[in-house]
Amino acid sequence: MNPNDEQSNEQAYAKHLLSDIHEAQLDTLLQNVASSEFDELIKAGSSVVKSAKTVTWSLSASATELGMDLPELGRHLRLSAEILQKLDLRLLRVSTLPERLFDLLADTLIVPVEHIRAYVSLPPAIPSGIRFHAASGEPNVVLESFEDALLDEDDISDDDRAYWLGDRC
Amino acid sequence: MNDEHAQNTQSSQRTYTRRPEVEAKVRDLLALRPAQREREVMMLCSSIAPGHRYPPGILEVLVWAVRHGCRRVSKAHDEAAARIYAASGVFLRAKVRKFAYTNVEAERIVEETLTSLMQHLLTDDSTISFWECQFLRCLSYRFETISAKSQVRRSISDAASIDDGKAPDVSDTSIAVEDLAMLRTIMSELSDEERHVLYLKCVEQLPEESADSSVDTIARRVGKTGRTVRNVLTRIRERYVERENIQ
Repeated sequence: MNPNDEQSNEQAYAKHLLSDIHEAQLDTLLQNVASSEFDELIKAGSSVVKSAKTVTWSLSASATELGMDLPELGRHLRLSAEILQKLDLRLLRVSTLPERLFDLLADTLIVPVEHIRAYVSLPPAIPSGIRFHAASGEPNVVLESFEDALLDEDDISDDDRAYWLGDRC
Repeated sequence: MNDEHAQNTQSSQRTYTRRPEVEAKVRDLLALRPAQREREVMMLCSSIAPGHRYPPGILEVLVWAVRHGCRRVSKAHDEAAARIYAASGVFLRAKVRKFAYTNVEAERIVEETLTSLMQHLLTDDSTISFWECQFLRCLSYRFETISAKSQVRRSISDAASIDDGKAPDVSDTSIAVEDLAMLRTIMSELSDEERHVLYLKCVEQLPEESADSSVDTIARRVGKTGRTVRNVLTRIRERYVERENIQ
């Protein structure tokens, strides 16, 4: 047999047989590993993943990756696209955002809720068209409360407004 | 987010190919909408857990999911990466116990191997990698490289020379010497029929059987039923897996 053929045959056997052996070993190990040890490893893995994240992210980009635009995301959340736009630009005060908004966003975008929380807590992203400068030269941005944004919004039904604000509307 | 790079050639000019069951699962996932795909990946993640049987090929599928199949910011991406880390940790801790390392040294070698794995996993790289084709073999070889460096470090007490590349490297893709010896032993213990079936399975990559009479199969080549062929393969597998687990 040609030595090259022999080598490539050995590679083929290795791929099959070594995979079987390693997977059988892992199978046995997983059957016997203590849950506490495994949970501790999962926690360590999660923290490595979190610390490695340097990606730029936004609500709209995440929705787009799932094939949704902001109006469609709005329909899932019973909010208008404009309010979601404000949320995406972090123009709403974080302390006024209801807990269930975080949960709904996390469920709809299939993203960890802590990530959403961290994202909306970042400084506001200021679109170039509405950049205002105070005397200090810093952008002068007045953050709105979630409630005010909903009360000022025309493009939302009374039912949806009541869903979020209850008796306050 | 797509698999167009699946058969790309690496810089080493080597083309990696996934095992058929891994390739089939990746294709199934690719056919789903992104949200469905990520939910399916979460389901796969839950199958790697204490007390569960390990589903063959799932780690390779999860490596693909982390590197190509899921959005970087998504529960599925994070969960898949964390499960890969945990399963690898279990595998490496068992492996390192076979050596006479101190606890501190053993922990450091495992940690270093896991760090190397995660760097590879989380690095933005669109090409298919050996980790997606032979995950545990790759992890094993990475461990051996790091472990060998540790032995050199211990024997010569000269960390600088290791960084100069004097420590032995176990390539990700070539077969390690011990594995080659083991393979040759396994092959030498097979009967002619078993060797022929294994050749058709591994080298010619024929299906065991097929309802389509135009498809070449192992069963047709050896003149046996598909069930007999599967029994032969199972018997071979059980024999070497049992022997390796005992060792």
